[in-house]
Amino acid sequence: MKVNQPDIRVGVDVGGTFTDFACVLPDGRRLVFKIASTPGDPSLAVIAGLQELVTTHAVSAASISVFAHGTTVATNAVLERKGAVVGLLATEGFRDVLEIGRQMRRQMYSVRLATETPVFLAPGRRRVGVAERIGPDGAVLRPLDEASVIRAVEQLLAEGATSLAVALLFSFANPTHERRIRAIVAERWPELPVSLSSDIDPVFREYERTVVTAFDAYIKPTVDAYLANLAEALVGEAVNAPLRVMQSRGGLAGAAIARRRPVRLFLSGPAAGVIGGLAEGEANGYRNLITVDIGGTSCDIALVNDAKPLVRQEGMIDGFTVRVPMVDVNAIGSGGGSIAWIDRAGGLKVGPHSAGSAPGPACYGRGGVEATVTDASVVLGLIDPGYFAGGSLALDGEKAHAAIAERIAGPLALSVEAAALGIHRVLTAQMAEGIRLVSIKQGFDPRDFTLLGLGGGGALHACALAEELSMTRVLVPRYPGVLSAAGLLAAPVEHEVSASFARPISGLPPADVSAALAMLDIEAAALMSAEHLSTDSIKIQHAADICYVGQGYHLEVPLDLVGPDPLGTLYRDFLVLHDRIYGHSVEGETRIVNLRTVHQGPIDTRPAALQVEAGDPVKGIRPVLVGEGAVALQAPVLDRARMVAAHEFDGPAIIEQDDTTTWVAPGWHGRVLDTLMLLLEKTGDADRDGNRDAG
Amino acid sequence: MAIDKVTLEVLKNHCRAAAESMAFTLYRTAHSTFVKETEDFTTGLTTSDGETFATPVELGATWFVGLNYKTVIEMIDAYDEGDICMTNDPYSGHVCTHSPDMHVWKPVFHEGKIVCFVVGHIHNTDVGGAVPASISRTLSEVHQEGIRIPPAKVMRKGVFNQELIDVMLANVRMPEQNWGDLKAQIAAMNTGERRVHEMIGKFGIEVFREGIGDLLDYAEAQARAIVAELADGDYFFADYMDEDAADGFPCRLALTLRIRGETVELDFTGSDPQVESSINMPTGGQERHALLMVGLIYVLYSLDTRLFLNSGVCRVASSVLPEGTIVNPHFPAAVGLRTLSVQRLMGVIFGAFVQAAPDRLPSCPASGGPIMNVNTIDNRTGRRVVAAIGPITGGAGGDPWRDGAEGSGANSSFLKNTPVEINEAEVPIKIQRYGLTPDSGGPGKHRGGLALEMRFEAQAPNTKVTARNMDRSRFSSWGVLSGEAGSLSRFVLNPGTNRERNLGNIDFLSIDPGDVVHVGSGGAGGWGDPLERDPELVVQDVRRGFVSRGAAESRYGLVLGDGGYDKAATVRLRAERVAARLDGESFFDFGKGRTDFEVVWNHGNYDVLTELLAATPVHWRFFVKHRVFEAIDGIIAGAGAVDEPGQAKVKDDGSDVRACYQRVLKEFPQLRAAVEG
Repeated sequence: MKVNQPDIRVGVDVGGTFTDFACVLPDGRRLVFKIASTPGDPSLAVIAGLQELVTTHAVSAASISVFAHGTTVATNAVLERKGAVVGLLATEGFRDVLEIGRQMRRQMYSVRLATETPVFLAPGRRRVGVAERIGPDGAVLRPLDEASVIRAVEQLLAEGATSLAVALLFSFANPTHERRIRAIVAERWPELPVSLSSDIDPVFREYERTVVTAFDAYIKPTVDAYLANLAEALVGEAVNAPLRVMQSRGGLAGAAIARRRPVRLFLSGPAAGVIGGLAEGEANGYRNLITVDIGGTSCDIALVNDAKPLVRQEGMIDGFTVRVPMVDVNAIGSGGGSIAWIDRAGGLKVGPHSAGSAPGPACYGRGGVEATVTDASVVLGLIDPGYFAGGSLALDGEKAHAAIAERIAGPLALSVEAAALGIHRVLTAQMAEGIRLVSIKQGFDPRDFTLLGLGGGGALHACALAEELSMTRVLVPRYPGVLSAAGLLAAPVEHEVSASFARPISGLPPADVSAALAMLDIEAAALMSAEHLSTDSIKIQHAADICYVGQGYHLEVPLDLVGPDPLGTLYRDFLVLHDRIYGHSVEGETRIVNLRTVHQGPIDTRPAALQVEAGDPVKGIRPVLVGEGAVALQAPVLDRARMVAAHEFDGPAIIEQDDTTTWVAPGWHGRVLDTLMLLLEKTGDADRDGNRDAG
Repeated sequence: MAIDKVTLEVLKNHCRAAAESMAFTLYRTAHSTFVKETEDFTTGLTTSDGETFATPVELGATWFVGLNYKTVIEMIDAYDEGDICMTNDPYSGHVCTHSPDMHVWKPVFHEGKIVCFVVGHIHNTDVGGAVPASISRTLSEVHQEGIRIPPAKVMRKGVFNQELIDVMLANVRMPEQNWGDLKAQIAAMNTGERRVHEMIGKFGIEVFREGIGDLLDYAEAQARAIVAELADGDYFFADYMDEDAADGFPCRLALTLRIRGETVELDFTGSDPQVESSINMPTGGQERHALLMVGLIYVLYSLDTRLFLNSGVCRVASSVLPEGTIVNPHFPAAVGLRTLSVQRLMGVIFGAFVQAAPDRLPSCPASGGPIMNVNTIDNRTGRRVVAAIGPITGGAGGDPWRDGAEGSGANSSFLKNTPVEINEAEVPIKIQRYGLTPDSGGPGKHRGGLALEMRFEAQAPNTKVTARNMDRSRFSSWGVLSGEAGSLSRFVLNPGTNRERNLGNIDFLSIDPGDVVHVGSGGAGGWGDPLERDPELVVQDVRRGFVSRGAAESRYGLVLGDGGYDKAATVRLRAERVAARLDGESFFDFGKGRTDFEVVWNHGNYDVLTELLAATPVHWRFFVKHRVFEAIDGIIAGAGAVDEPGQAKVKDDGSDVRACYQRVLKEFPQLRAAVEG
């Protein structure tokens, strides 16, 4: 029998190895499954999964009401250098801005230097100046020489350009020249896609604006073709729901709109993961979270404050800073496959090199000889070699032992057990530093947060990380490996529009701000109306980027125009925020840098119904080595699938499930919540139940 | 006693993160453009003896990894909790090395005892003195370089020393900037202190105390391992700055590098006497002074980027610093522009080490481009604006693996540029061009990175332009292994008009509306033989506009053809060029300016000059050097135009130099009295 109510929600997240599906049925039941990704054309796996949903799980395609998609197409086009051949038009005299960058280098102390700017987007021969000039106040200092535009485009076409980026000086203050260029190109070369900096990122600092515009031009044809093709395929499978895509700032956008601003699709999957974590936390009453997603090669860290993800106005893609609003996900090069090594001064290091999945950790028995974190986990008894990935991959404990003995224990004159513990301690310290930086950069104290362990390794290291950071609560979702797909279902449709607005706050008439925001709202509302959502379900949030006069960096402060003294409130809120992030604030002259509006659709908060298998959750008992002395403790081994709500237990304990292992350290108490989420709390904490930050 | 390696690694992470949090706090809170956009600041943690054990890796200036605060720490009588000290006096302990750098340090107490210090500096845009921005090459005494605050408490037990602050602010041109930046520094110190307390809480005081000593030992052990891989030997290298003072003579920095097992000795004998301009380097004769260690740290880090950077690295080195020379000047020699000489000194250290490891190190990075400052009135507001509009640095040297990065990668590239869109919004100038300079990179199998250039127009009368660190208008960045030298720097007023004027090596001028200034750095040196450069890369360079068609042929032996190159003609041309070469190609290519100069001032002659000046009283040396140079120039001029160009009429055995010196002695009896007295 097919489920045929028109309210089936499907989230599909494409990863490098697997394409994850999360599907919520009308009765609240949830289906979660993975299929192998198809990197050549990722849409094949999406369609294959959809067909599986229809055939195996008896879901009618026509009943699908939401089809939300996290895609790596934009990111992969960059990582694999498979984007368009971009031609860049710049103001004459400034064509090299893209190459020079901000001059300063991240790799500072070395004299052996590779370029650190994304020159590949438009190397010298594909950067041409056009005669024109606009001043800082938007005045036209030199009119656009249209003949120079035509010559420049011809030159770029001769160099093979298939996509144009236009980034003129001060175009954020006056976009007429950029728009005229687009019109000229549309007239003569209608097939040639054009990305204007004044559309994509109308904010000052020419290098940053040029980079994001060039990236947009670079991925536009690829993203465009992919989304068009997928939308068509979905129609072919009788899916009527509109295809929506996760944007890097954590909201969904209809495919048709996303295609217009492809650069906003970077890190679509990780953003969905954070939204997924946020939704899981909120469903259980936890609104302040640090999510730690530990995979084989890296660890993604994100922070959720008051049930909102932190959104940065610029993010990183393939090592390049790109000024696109992104959920603040910080990746560090530490994961289960990270290799432990000894430097020449005898220091123990872990990562950033990883054994990956081929050859993988020594215990995989695929020829790996390096000692990895996973090998250490096996030696310590945290991972059962016979039940890794649900028993699908038998691990070789002796190889793990041998690798650590040879690579680490021998050179450091330690026992193998002590060396394995050392590897974990160093890893924990590195990850903890990553977490600390993410939180302190925003002025938060990790102790006020709950750690959410995600991915294959999050739950294994969560207690150690929490202790390192003096955090007292850890959550492990029932399915920590498919949070991105789940997050797609929890995310709202969202559109953001911002613009430069360089005015001092003091003496500023609120009407000027309202008028400017009204313009932005018109633009955002047009985007939302294309999403076919009822207007009364849309939430509008305004914000301003504010700084002290003379300061180079701004803070985003929410702005409420309805109150009695909106700008006075804005100013005071800025002082409070500045104090939180930088530890001080003084009364002083402040100015607005940008104004922003975010229009958000409704969020689906219906809880999922999950099933528990019958039977005794205790599978057995096994020794685990802990503490500085590598003392063996006997830890019960529990089966996650059989753990019912309200089940309680104390550490040490090991909880096994197909996609992860949770280590509950001594001194921690565990409880299964109603949603089957696992809550671990440090005992000895007097108000451990009263401490929840929301109820 | 050492703590275990695992705990040490964990502690190391924490210490670096603490230094980075301090930098982050400072960076984000600072007010002045110079700090906020160029990141000329540092943060760090030192032992209670002042040895730096942790610094950030990716934030701030790179010069102070080896900084030792011991001397200034000891100049304060007693410390209380909540004290913060500061100094910007280059002659009080030699921690501060020019007056714009305000160094601060704060003791961190545990149970009433100091466990370590948190430290850092900011380069203030202006600290008063004779010129805006406080730095000009023309200054000759430190007293002209702004207010100097000897080590003093700016905060006592958590309370501002308002009198001291008022005195400082009364003496600077943009007090609100200095005040804003000082507050940012204090915020950074407090962040650092908090982080240290957290570490003590976590590791325990004993482990923390021992651990920070072990971190220094650890860095030292790594540095020793790197040095041990280099071939023992003596490696001599010298380079010049264009002038030792305005309208002066070239200024030489010389180094004999002695690699012995795991240690190196840097002997700077042969460097010029201290100068009557502000490019002196105030090292106080400290053999591991931070200014001397910068170049060494770059080299060791480049040889192994896993090196943990702290003062321990410097323990592999010792130095010989003759008194009264540019590397060890006597008070009150001006030092404001030591940035220029330290950059050149870094290059000298690179030049010595590259001989020991030519297959692992690059040729000379670009330099000579200035940091531009503008001081003018904004027509819109009537207010005076003093602002740095950006460093004009150039590219990286070609290296054994690839071309140098274009327009960035010079050894001052910890500096961030200021966006045109900020410059024009905040400073009343109009920028006409900001870009890469074609044909500026030294040709090579791996080309040197291109120079950077900026062209701007004044908008108000009497706009004062400072081109700090301007150099390399005569002596190029060098290439190695047949790679050629980079182009010279350029500084031109009103280019392409009948009012065009080559400004050469000056560093200050006043311009009026309509005047256009063009300023460009030198290009970086090439690595390897340009005739062995992949022809496709040359074609690509031509299409990119980085190499002209003419240079492709004249310098790379490439015959361009339809949309590519003519293979047969290129092979032929390159073979002809190789055949026409003289035997005995030297390791370095120094460019024409230096080659011409060294026809006269070769190694032997300069050694004699060094020897004679060393025996002359310090306050006479600069004067005597100039008189000797003039006398030598007289010999060359006296030889007349009949001589073939490039043929020296000065003997290369030092005898003419001695004769000229004797003439000076004779002419100035006071000198004879001073020498003999």
